[in-house]
Amino acid sequence: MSLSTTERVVPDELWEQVFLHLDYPSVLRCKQACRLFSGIITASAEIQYRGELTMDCMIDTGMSNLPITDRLTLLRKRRFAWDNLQWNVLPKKTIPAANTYHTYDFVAGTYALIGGDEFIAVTLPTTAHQGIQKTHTLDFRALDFVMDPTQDVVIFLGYQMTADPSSTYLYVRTYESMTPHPQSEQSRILVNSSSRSRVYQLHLNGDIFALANSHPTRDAEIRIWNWKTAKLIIELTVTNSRAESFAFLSSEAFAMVIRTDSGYISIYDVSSGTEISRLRFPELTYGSLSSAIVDTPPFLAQPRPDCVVATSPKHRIHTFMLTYASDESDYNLQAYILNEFLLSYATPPTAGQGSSIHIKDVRWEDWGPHNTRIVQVELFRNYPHYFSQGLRVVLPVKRSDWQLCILDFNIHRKLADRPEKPKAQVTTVAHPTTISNSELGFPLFKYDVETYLPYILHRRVIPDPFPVGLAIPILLSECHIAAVNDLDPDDSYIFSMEL
Amino acid sequence: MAAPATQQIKIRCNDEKEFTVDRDVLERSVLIKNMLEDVTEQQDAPIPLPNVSGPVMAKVLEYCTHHRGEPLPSADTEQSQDETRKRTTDISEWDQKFITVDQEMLFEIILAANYLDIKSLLDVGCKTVANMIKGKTPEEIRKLFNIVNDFTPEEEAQIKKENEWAEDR
Repeated sequence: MSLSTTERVVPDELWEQVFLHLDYPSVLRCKQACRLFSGIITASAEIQYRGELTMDCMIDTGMSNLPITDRLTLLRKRRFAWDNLQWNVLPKKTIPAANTYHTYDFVAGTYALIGGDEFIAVTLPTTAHQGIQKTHTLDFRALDFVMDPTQDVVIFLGYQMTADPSSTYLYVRTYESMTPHPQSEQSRILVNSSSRSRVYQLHLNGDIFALANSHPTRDAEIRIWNWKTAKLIIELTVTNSRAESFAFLSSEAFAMVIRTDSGYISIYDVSSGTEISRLRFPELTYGSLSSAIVDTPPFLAQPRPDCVVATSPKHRIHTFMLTYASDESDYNLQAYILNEFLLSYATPPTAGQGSSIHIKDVRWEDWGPHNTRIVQVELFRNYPHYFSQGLRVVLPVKRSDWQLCILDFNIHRKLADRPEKPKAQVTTVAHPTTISNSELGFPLFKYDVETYLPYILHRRVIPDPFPVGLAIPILLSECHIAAVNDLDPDDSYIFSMEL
Repeated sequence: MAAPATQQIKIRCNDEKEFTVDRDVLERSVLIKNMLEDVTEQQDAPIPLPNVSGPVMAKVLEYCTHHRGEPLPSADTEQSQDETRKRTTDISEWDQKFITVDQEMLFEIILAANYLDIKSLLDVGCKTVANMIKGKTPEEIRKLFNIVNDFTPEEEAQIKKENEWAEDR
């Protein structure tokens, strides 16, 4: 069939139908083929919208009735706001005196905290919604919790005030009303050992959740349940690891950092509880990996219903906060690793490969340099956590320069246009960076550690009322940058900006 | 009112070729379904289909016969189907075999499916063309459809530059 025939008989809208079945890079190659294709592709809002969503690692939530052209405009506006760090300052929300509350979580634009028998959830305001604060009195004493408002679920670790405090339970409640969750067959799951005097962490991913706990002198215990059936899926002890080193990669896989030798990331299959791979950190000359804390953006079961577009559930950046100890000093390094990359080491060997368990053991040189970015950081006193959302990580603000820094690990997208007077600086960091012993002033590593994972750095000096200081967490969600000021117990509040 | 399954309908293609087909098979085509619903009394004259030729109609009927009885996408489900369809290019085994035809026939089937309003067949056709394009360079795409590169070298360089950011994805 010659083009003249094709052009004459195949109407443009049918070519559009064909292009809608293509991945975006293929669409762009069609655009390069001829004027006809280029014209059809450029004129189609739907092709543009789907393509730009993919490149932005976003999805359409399917919740909006807006026409495609409006959704495309919205997507571009959102990209512009994040790329240039242009925001609207929202009214600050007062929160209860934070000194009595000790555990908090920030998921899907909702900041929640517990203290004693109270659960407080603050939905941050947006220009469209006013924001809500809810306080619930719980019928148990809560130690920790994890939530996914898109599934209307909060899981608490706690104990009955009247009963023997050595029996700890997991309580599966609805986010909206704090009543036992109707989808859960058992509203309370007994955790056999006392979890107090330990470090414990809860993680939720779809139908399953994990309780990681560790005692300073003992190994980490990992237990994973299905919260709907209340069935315990796996229970295992991970040698030389800590509760804070746990991260879900998906509902089928998780990772732990093991401190043995120079340290490595151990990747496990959830259903069988078997170790699949080991990704080794750089070899050490002296000292040891003394702690590893993993920060992973929350996994939501559904996109938030009030958003038109949302970060794709599979795209995540993990932050591994690694502390190396020597006789002289501690060295704190931050390693950023894409979830997609770790997942590629999470596929269990297929059946029929024999019963011998073969763990893929990968040297740092063979995986690390190209798939991580390691930077040296100052560890913030009392506050080791960094916060991330999708592929973005926010760094703590330093008093020395008052700059808000956001690292965006999606570099495969088109950057938004720059405004006439940009408030933010944007730099693409694609060159390798090195952690050298001479820089550390100590022969920690056997070889210099060079890493390449590219990212885009967005920096903006923060506006005056933004409550920054040491120990103040800055949080990210789909369209918010928020900070919690809990230094003054008489005036605790959340300050947020909508992008 | 649902017509008895045995009712036979006659159609005539643009090359005078006629087919007599069970009504439920023909009703895979929303165009024909609507036509039949508009006609109240029994008609003996064949339905003219001026945009489809006999050989193409034979292929289309083969498809409709295989898929008879499957639920048709209704107007309300169309939106959500559009959402779920996304970029899935997987085609069932039977459809795959059915659509293994030369390029001219493939486009004829797509045009007929579009004219007759048979959404699932249109999808199969478009997915097949999309699969042919996937992974090909612009030059290979031109060769595939016998397209002449009508860009000026400057324009070509410009588009290439614009697309660079997406290439290693």
